[in-house]
Amino acid sequence: MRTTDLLVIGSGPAGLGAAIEGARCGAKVLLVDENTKAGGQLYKQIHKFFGSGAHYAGTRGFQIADILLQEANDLGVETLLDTRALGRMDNGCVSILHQGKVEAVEAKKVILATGAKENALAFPGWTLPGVMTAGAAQTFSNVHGTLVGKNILMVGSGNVGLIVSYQLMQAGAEVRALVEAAPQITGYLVHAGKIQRAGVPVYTSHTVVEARGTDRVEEAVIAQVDEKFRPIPGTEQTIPVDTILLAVGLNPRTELASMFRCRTTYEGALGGILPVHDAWMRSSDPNVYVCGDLAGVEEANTALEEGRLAGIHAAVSLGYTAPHAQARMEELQESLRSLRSGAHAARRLACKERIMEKGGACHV
Amino acid sequence: MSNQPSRGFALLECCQEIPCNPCTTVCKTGAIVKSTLNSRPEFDPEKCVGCKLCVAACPGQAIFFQVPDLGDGKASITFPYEYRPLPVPGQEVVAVDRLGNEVCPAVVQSVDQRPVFNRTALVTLVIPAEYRDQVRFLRRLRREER
Repeated sequence: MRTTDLLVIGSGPAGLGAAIEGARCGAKVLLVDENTKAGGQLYKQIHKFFGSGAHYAGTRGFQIADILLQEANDLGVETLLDTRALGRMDNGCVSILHQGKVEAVEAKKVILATGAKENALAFPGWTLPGVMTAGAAQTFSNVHGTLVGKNILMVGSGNVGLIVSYQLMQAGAEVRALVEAAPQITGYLVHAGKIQRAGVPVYTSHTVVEARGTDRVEEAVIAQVDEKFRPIPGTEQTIPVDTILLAVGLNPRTELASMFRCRTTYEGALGGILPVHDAWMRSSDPNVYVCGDLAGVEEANTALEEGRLAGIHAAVSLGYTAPHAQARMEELQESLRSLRSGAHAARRLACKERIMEKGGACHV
Repeated sequence: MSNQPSRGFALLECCQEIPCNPCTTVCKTGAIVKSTLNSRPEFDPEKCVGCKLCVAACPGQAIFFQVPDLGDGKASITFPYEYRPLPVPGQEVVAVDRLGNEVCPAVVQSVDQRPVFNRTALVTLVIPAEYRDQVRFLRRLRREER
């Protein structure tokens, strides 16, 4: 059996932030991730990030991962990769599958940073080879160096759809069109501007209605939608593509949080069902923290700040002290408010306030 | 802005409130300021010395650099470019607008790659001055075109 102060599950920006800050406070930290490389989705991000200097703005995502990993190593965080957290056992330990063996981990605090998974969209022909999620195409391209197709239809104009379109063009593919069911582009307009300058037509109030082909996708049928998102007959257009990518949102990976019996709520704008948390990222169980996309799908910079907040609070509540720990937590809370205060983020801020109200009520 | 037609100035086309500020941190002369992390940047053309650091730094690729009057009815426009192959100086290309629509033929004046740009190249096109407010990019070069 392994023992640790903090067990952090997931090594994306939230998990790395938690591990770094927990270790900085002096806590013993064990970080586990099912992937063979730490960094979560940061490693697939080859574009420069938004944010302030404090959030590594202007730095490319994979470069941020390298900085965070180095910091975690320097602080003595023990990291187990290719290691899956299987669940919570009756005695409160967490079982992990590491190098083919199941082991128990006894942790005083558990920080869940399990991220999110992509939504799918069903339409006639969607099971044909060539239909996949945008994140899958990004993993093929940016991790494995393989283009999934030459001519692409992107479905969804959130930041994932916009950024993956840009990156696949950088890799040599053609994005023949991007469709968005909403009447306006939903991601940042500057991301949209990049692909529009490169000649990608963006069709708002449009969706994909059919994928056609014999052994794989050969063409996509798109159509205009009405205000209730129903395709309008007679507006169909056929676009010759070999790939249809779905960038239609993400939902929190709550399986482990459910095993810990964390109380959940529903916030559609943050991805759906997710565990509630207080202003320090504590779930309804005071020994279990939730952060990053698991606690509401947002961005890498908010995930990192939430993780840092969880890491400090968990360490401090175990009696570890770091200089200015209290002030640092207040700074992080303020930073999160600032990251959510733009016009584009107003809806996310309102969701987060409701979640924290419900989460705070668990600890009175 | 008309008092520096031959020296040029940055064009900030940051159209939404985004929590982001690399433009203000790379600007050494204080020509770009933001009152909060989310507010849109404010630009003082009098303070702009034309270093173009902001053009490369903006994660949204929303900053351009324009020299409105090069003489002979020409202007130049500089934008970030992250596709390969890169154009080469002297190459004739097609200049396009913000939606990728063809505007006019253009000649590549320079392709600037500095370590501080972190692998973003800055491409400068010479174009007829009448198109300087429309042209923002070049028709992307395919691998066979170079």
